[in-house]
Amino acid sequence: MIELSPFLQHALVAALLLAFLLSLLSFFVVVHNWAFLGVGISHAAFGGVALGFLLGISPDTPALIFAVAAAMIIGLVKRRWGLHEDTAIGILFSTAMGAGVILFSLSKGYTSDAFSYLFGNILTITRGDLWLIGGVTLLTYLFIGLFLKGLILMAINEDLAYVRGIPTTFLYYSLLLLLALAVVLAIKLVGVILVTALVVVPASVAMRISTSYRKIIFLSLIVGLTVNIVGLVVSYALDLPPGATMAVTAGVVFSMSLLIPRPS
Amino acid sequence: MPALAIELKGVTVALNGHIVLDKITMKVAQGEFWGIIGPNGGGKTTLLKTILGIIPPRIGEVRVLGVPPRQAVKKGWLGYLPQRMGSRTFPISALEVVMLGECYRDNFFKPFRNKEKEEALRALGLVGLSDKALHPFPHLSGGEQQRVLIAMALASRPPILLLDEPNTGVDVVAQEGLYQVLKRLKEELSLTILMVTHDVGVISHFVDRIACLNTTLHFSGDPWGAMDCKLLEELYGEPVEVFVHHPQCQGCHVLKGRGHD
Repeated sequence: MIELSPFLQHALVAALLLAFLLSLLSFFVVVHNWAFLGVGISHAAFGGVALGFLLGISPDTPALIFAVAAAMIIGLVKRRWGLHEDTAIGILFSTAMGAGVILFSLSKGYTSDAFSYLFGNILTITRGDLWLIGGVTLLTYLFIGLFLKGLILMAINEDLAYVRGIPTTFLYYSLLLLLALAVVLAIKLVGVILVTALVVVPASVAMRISTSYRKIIFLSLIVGLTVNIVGLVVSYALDLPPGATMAVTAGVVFSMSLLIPRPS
Repeated sequence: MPALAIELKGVTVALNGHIVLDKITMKVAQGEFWGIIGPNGGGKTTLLKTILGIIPPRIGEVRVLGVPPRQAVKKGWLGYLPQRMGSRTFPISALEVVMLGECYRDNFFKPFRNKEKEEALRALGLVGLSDKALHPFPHLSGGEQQRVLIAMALASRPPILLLDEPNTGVDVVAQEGLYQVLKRLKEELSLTILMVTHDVGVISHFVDRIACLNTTLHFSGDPWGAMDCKLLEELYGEPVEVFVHHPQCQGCHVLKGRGHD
């Protein structure tokens, strides 16, 4: 049995749990065309991280608040004013990111800290983080398990879901909230900039293999687990940055999936 | 149950500050098949969404079988075919789409059972797609997708069907079949159907009543009355030719048109 250092143990557990969490959400991100939403949420969280540093408190809480607020604002803009999510995201994330950079510049020289949030740093993952990721993962599986039919109908057509008596507003914001939580929790592992890979790639690959949503959700999980574990092991073996290695692994897996003929 | 399936009393709807529907009053009796025609932007889709309770009226009142729309929706009284789909590429089989039409508030977190599957297959049979049940929905043609969605609207056996341009992407022959199916369903299940369409000529053979909508209701009544070109001109804002297709008619001919007087 190889002795693993505690930080690597934490990283491994985090990578496993996040694969379960993000792969499941990945399906909904891909069918809703929400790839850019993950980008928006994670970059908004960076504004929160910077604020935490400036105030001299743990950046985790402000990052969480920023991410959830961003997700809710994006949802509100979409539902109230009928703007496409991308428009709101484009404005919101550049503003939050810009504010983050300004705040970092004010908090006097912790560029290495900024770097660890931008690209991930497994040394920052604590035992408490693992419990939190586990809790959110459980909550997400419960939510999607309970409301799967409604969520699918909503992805096909929201008015149809409404006509079937499904509480569409509740489901929409709940899904956004869970996505925001998942993205924030993944930042420590892969960073603000690279988290999109883990949100988009699993279901994108799975959708090239199957045309059944049940199989796609399952395959998405396999892809997510493969990417995270292979990425982490390779980064450890070759002494490469883990987040970046996972993102590249995800890209390689997706490229390989392009060689698979389209399902019929 | 009250005799009226749908009742609108002086309904005015505004979207982004523009009046889209102006003082609409209409009464649809149970078991009637209505066709709603009118130009693009005339408020046809908005009318359906107002009846569904998706868009609340600014003034006026909507009743569906005597109750407000949202209550009717909760009781599962309304079947709906939207004009545009959020996603036509969702990875799901035709049968599963139809089964989703059977989920209600009280069962939408339970797995599908055999009973729902049988109902879904029956509904697919009604639109002539039994053999495509297990095909992936995204791989079907536009017209087939449309028929699957009609089957979905029928699956829960709602007393009222609201259809927004059900003939989109359906070829003429299939369209005739589609209207026949709707007419048959109406007669067999005494369904109330409200159908938005551009196809003035064809529907006059199948519907009981036609309503002409361009912000205000210009006409509602006997379908052949709507063939009056003055009315259509008023409605569409320019002279129109009405092409009549009829199952018994060899080819199509121009019924009336100012350019041909």
